[in-house]
Amino acid sequence: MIDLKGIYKWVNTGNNRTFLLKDVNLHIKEGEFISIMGPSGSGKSTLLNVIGMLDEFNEGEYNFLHESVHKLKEKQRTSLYKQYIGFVFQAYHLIDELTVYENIETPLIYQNVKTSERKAMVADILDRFNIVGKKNLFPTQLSGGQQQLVGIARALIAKPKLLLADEPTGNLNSKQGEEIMNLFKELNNEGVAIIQVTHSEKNASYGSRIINLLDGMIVN
Amino acid sequence: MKHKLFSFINIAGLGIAIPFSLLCLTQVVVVFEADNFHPSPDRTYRIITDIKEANASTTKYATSPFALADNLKTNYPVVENATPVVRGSTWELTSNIKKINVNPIYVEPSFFEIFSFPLEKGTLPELPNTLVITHGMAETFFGTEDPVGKTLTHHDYGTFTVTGVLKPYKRGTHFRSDAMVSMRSFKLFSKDNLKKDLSAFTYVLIKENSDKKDLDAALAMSAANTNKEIAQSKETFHYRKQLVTDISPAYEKLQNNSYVESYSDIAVNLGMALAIILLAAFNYINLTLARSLSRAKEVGIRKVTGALRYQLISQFVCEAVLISFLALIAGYFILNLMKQFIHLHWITWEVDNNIALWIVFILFTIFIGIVAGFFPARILSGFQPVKVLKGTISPVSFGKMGFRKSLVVIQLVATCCFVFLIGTMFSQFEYMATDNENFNRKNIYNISVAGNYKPLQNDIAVNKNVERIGLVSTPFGGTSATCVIKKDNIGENSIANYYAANADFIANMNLNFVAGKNLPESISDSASNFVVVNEQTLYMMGLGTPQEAIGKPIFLNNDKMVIIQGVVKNFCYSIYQFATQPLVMQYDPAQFHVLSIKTKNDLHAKDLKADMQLIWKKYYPYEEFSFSDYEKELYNRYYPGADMQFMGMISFVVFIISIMGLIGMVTYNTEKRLKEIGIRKVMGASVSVIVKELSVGFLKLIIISGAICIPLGYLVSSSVINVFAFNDGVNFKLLVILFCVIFFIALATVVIKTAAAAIANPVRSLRTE
Repeated sequence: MIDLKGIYKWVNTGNNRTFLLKDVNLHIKEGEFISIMGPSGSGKSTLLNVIGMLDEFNEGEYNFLHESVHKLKEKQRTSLYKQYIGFVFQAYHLIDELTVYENIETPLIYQNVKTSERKAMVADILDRFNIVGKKNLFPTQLSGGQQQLVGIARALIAKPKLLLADEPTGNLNSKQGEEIMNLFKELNNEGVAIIQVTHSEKNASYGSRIINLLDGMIVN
Repeated sequence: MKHKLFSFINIAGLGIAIPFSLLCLTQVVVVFEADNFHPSPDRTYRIITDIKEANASTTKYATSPFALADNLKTNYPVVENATPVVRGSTWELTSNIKKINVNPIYVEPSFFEIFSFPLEKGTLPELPNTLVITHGMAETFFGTEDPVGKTLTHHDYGTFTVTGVLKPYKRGTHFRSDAMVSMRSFKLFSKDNLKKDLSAFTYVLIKENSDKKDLDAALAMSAANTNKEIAQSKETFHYRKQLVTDISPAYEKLQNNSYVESYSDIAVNLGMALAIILLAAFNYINLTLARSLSRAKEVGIRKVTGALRYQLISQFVCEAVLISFLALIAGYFILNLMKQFIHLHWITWEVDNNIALWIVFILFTIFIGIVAGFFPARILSGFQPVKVLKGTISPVSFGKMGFRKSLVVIQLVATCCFVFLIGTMFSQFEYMATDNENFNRKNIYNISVAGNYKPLQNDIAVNKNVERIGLVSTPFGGTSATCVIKKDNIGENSIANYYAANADFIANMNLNFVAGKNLPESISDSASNFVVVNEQTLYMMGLGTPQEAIGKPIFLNNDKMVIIQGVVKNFCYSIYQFATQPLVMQYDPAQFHVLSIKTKNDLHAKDLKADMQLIWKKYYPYEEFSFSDYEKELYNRYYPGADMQFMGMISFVVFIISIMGLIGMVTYNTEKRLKEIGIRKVMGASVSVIVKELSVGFLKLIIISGAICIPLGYLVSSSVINVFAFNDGVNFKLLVILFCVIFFIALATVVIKTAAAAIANPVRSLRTE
């Protein structure tokens, strides 16, 4: 599903070139559950953003399904990732001005799904995550765990093939974290590929494979 | 400085607003200094007349009876000197080549004893028909030549001899005038009852060390005498003194108090200063709040380190004051630049007391700083340090968003109305300057003549380009001579404007006859008995419909009976503001002074002038040739180019300020929603969708402003246009264009700013570190 070949990403500071990613080669099959680990500043989030097509890279090839991402224009990339990829953030990043229902609905609006269909899809996922009762609340009225649940619901609403999660449990307590990880496991069993960035060995163990990063390079 | 753009907008916005405010303030200071140069300010008084009507209502006049000065001087020992001053209405004076509107006052020699108006050269005017002119007038009329002994001609009052030139004096004084004419001239021209007519300003100088109460007593006694004389009328006079330095600004409403600014004029100036600066201060408030996110952290840290709220408030206010002082410096430079390029007679740049001026400037600047700084300071200093440092605070959404929105709406509406106002004035002036509906100016060239012009006229007539040569006393568009007319021998006289003209002149002017016909063609040497009048003359004299009036006799200048030959539609032949005055046109060769030449088709004025000059030289080898392209001459007369330039500048500044305000508001809004924009982008929103979503709110604001400013602007425009009795109506096309330009730019500003936020990489705004 994902094929990274010789990915380099750098920033120039004065005369020095600092590498954020250095010769990253990675192959990920459909339905895999991968954990990316490494110390702070090792490039975990950068790698996740590159895979999620939110960030550009300077050198290398990136094939997603059958598309060569490095050759696509921004517009095509956007339509590619909004169809296949869902994002979960450490800080949830829900829109404060919108209700739970509206937050979850947002990606569907951008994919031009019809109102009636949207209603059905959002109702399904609210039901599945047991948050029907909270659909009219605003994010600030929810606990962290509940907010993250909404975040995941929003990421899954468009039925992506790949879920990218940047420290999804970083702001949660251990019980809430465990629930989220169990949910991930469940989703993975249903066939959704997951790539998560994490500091926690325990969370990493939920995955099928661990990738260790150090100074922008994969060390295994 | 992290926010270079914001600092720039703040300083530049205030900086371009400040010079106009400073200018307004300068005008205010000038008003207070208007009459501070007279030699004995503590002993010189003007006498004010209060007239009590029978119904107990009182009218206050700045003028007093003409004889009062003489009376006070001769009968009361407390009075050292007294002098009457009479203000004439505008004169049109002609030197051989130039014809200029002049603003005269009549003075006695004793005037120069009491007041300090020294002569540059020559002597004081004493004899009838003598005058002294200001330095500026001398230059306009005579250039570098010595004006003393030269003559100037008035169409009614005859020829005046220039006896001297005044040194330049302060423009703000209420004695403002272009010429000081001998009082004996006034006595000659005026046949009014000078005793009770309030025709003169009376100035009194009391003796040194004398009691002011003696003057009051003297005034009471003269008033009693006057009241005895006018006992048959139901009015009573009361005189009181006013110190000459108290004249300007006028704290009470006085009739005839010309050239004295009142407190309400000052209020207008101050209001202008405040309005412009407030528009700029709105921006400061908006931008400071927009920056609140970046300042929040600073506030948090300062609070944690022990700063109290009032300390933070004073810090922010001080910053605003500092910014406004920087803007004052920038503004002062711009003001000095403006001084070089703007020359408007109604703007004074210099004041006597610069320290007072600077105190006013500095107080004003501090005031701006406090106004602009206090609001944001209160809000920013209210941040909870814990929330700020945890990073869970978003830019303040202070109070009701409605308040900030209304700031933007006010700015846009003010801009629009201002631009409409100026646009309307522009189109009216343009109409006045180019109009050919009232009378024809196209292809008309005027040559001033004197004496026997016939050979010259005949010679010009053979020129192949010349279609027709009209003869007239003075062309339309300036001031004219007046005559008195009455219906019959016994009736009361009324005043009408008088033009001596021949049939060809009337034909040249394309006047519109509603009844009767043009004057008869004539080459006779004596005045004819036929006149052409306008509708207003009929209306004033009660001569019935134009058709009825044809053939009726009227009496011109008391004894000469003339027949109405034709009636022309009312048209504007002088000042567009005023309704038409009665008009009489008569063939009178003795008064013809101008050949009004109509050419067959458009041609270069220069070529025609050269041809005409050749012919002129044949007959008048030693006299100056005065030739004018009528269309151009009237354009220059009616189009106040410098004024419009200045007004245009103000409206541009106001416009820039409100666009900056919009930029600030949009920046604030996008900065506040940066995270949301990031999320939406990650959710798959395209740039155009985000721009749409972000602009909708502003679009609403812009539409609201439009909905307010279109009717309001129309009202403003039509009230301006109605000042002019002759107008071209509100120029909708221009207003629509101006409106579209303003709102297109406003919209473009919004779209560009939001697009910049929408294009930005979402990774940046979503990073949590």
